[in-house]
Amino acid sequence: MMSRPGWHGPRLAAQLRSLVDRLGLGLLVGLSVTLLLLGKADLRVAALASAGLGDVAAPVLGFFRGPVVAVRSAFDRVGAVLAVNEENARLREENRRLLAWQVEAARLAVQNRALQRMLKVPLVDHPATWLTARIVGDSGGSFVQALLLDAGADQGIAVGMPATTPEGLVGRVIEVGRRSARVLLITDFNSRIPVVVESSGDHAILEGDNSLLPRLRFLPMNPGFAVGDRVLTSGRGGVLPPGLMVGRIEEADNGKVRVRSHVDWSRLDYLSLLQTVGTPLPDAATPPPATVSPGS
Amino acid sequence: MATSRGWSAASVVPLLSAITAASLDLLPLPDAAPRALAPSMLLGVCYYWTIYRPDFLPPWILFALGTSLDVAGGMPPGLTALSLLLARGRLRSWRRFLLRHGLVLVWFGLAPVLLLVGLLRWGVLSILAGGALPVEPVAAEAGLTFGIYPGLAWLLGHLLRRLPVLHHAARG
Repeated sequence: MMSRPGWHGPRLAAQLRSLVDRLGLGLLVGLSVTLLLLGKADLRVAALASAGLGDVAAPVLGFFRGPVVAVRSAFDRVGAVLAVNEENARLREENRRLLAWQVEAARLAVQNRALQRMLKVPLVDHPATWLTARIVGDSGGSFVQALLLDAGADQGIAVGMPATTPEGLVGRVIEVGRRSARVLLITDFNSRIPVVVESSGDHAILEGDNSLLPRLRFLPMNPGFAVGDRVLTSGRGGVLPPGLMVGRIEEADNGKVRVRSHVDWSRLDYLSLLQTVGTPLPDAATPPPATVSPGS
Repeated sequence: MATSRGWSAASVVPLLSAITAASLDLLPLPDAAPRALAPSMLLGVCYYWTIYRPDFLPPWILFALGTSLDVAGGMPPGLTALSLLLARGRLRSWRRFLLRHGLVLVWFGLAPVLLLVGLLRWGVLSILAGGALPVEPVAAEAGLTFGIYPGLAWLLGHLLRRLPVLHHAARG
């Protein structure tokens, strides 16, 4: 079929299509910017959407995770065979150290109870229960340090729960869906955790900066700690329960104090989440019985 | 024979490859250390299909994929969608030039796209964080994505060659 002179139909159609594409692209760019602004302004909506999509993503990622873990396990097995003598020696030394700590821990527990009795400290026993969840995804970006778990509200997980491994604190739950939950790592730049240096009693805030060595901020004027001292959660503000192992002071130079976690980040498959009854705020707590002061 | 540009069973292959790439981006690495660096598979896949078959990854799919990745990964929603859409917008004018000059130039054409996306992500996240974030993770991620692109392109090109509908349409 010969095209009619002056008939620019196909060219016009192509130009129209291009215009529609550009307009569509522009609209979607505008929508993306709107989402960015809305996500910041209305965090609740963003959190609900994120939790919902996490519920969808968690089983899918759990399915894909299988081959990844299998490959890693295969490499681990090969590596373990090659390094069996060295690993045995390391384990024997660690076992010897842990047995010594076990004896020391038992002695300290007895001493602690005796001191509490002497000081008439009310024994409030919060029964602690633990949940275990599998890591199925991470943030997928270079700036957000967060993990996606395959358990959510249906399994008893709630926002604020600390996530730990036997080595120490990994992070805390910031978002919960029905079947998934998101954990913000202690290294993330949004993470702020009240901590205490065990030896000196100095309180501080552990602030993540996306590095492996989060910083201690808001320290007292003359702190008394040293490199190597243990850092634990302080429980202040009710953010996290006290006494959870965070790490050890790695460096303290020029006012910058950094903490190294004992968590083996390369072996994170499962996390333990602590279900605790939080310490009641002063307003909610029952007042102590009236006592007669010595001067009256 | 003119190839229909309508959707067919083969036309979902680019979409499935993009969804797989997004899933791989979200998977925890064997070494899940903080600051463990990984390439952006989704960006590499979207770049490939935007160059060779932009009609099978239209803007609304890029928007949906990007937003889903952000929300599932805990990133600010809209950031990845914005990155992918701006990259597509930029590539509209470069596409024919790159295709005329072969695979190597297509590979090197990825570099400015990575720079644009990296600066955008770093800038937005720094503003949200209230201070400049380290640039090294962005640079490392861009470098890794640039490095793996030839392998990714080989794999996707294999798909492109095995699917006649896609291949004939790409020639045209």
